[in-house]
Amino acid sequence: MNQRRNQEIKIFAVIGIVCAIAAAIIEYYPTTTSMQWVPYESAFQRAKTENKLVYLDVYAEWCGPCKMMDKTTYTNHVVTSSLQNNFIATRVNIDDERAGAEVKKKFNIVAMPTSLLLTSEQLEVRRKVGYMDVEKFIDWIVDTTVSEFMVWDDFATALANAKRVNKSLFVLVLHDSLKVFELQRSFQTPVVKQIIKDRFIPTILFDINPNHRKIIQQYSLLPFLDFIGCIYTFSPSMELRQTLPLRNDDAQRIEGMVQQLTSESGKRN
Amino acid sequence: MRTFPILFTAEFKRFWTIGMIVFSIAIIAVGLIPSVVMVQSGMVTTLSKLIVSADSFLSFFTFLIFSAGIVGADVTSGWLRTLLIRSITREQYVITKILVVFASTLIVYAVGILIAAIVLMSDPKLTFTIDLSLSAMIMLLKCCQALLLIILSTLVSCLVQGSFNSFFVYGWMVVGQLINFLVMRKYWDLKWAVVLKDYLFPNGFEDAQQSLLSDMAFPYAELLWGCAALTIFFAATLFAMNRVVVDVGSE
Repeated sequence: MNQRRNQEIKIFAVIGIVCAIAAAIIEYYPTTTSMQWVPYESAFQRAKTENKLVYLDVYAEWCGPCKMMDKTTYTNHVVTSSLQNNFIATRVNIDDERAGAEVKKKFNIVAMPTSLLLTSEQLEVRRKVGYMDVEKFIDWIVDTTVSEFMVWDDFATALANAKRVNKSLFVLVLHDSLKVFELQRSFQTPVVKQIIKDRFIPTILFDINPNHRKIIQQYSLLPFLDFIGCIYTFSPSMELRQTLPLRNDDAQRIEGMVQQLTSESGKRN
Repeated sequence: MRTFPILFTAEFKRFWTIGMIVFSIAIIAVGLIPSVVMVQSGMVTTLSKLIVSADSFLSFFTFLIFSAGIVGADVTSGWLRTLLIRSITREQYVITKILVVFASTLIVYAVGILIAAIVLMSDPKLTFTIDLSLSAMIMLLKCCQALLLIILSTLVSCLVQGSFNSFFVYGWMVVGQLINFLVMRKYWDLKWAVVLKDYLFPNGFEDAQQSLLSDMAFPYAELLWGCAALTIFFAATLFAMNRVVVDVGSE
């Protein structure tokens, strides 16, 4: 009787161990994808040369959703061809002592996987945190409707243009890059676009970009406590005219804020 | 072979006391309110999501009360001794106890979801769709998770007397979830912490549900982890049951 009992226990234990081994193999077996990733060190240089955006995938070998993206998303030929033809696709392992630490700090990575679209100047265009299946990934990557900030000149060019055409300089300083996507949508409404086009020369500065941080410090465009960023307007001779701090939920109110800027600027003139 | 149905019927009748029936009706009534509110506020639009939301309210108390002292109480009261004196083996007893609690949990759960679905579908203003295949899959995984929790509770009940077992399992589950939350918020980039958090509590079937609901790839690994936990803990329960000290003379 006791022998039969022990045999039943052993059978269940063996089935359990076999299942656990199979699960571990599926979960931790390294996956290979057909994606050709450009080394991170040369990605931005190539992006500049080829005039493309950089697609940066921040991942880890031990991150479940990252491995799932490797198995499903990055093996899809539409995804791989889209990334390889239209972007400079690069990836950084968060465990990499040099690149991983740098990317984590520079792009404010708070979870994995994080997918980023960046300009060759390392400015963030769009961000997605978490797993994306093929359909969601394609929707995300081909959505070019929110690249408003990309057409804005860099600070030096914008300043030169402001002086040349005698317009005010519109400087959007962002301390929290997580809000870029939402803000870009707000800046793309016809009213806001028209006001900026008519009255200002716009430019954007990201606190996380070391070159931008120098400019931010030079002009004392320092962060306000609990604000994600700030809109500043300057005269062509770089006299500060207006300061409009942006709260976390101000993306929906950009139109009103920009109109406020123009009315105050009108009163001043 | 005939022992199982007789034992099951006897244990089932013993389980469903007037107090338990009143408790179950109260749990269904109270548990349904949040689900109906969530559907009316537009947070839940499909049957699969209704099952998930109903489960979070219904199963918490149902499981906690139903599996309390599943074996330990019978040892204390002498009921186990009475059974083992007859031609009933310890395996038959423990499997029957697990099945009775599992069937009772399913009854409460199914009645709750059925009432919620009827109430919601009778309101023409609400947009509520029935995604049958996904709902069936989610329901199956919920059943597997419930079975796993009952087995865990039975295992603990074989080791400790009284009704402490289900509180122990819940404490274990809550601590696991708290650590999981902490790791995801604070230590998401610590390799050992992220890997370790997945093994704090056997959550394979729950993880599989999450994958299915978030349109991720089919969760083979999660399902296998769930099956591994189910069978290993079942083996451990049989082992622990054989070591429960009961004075039955010539068992």
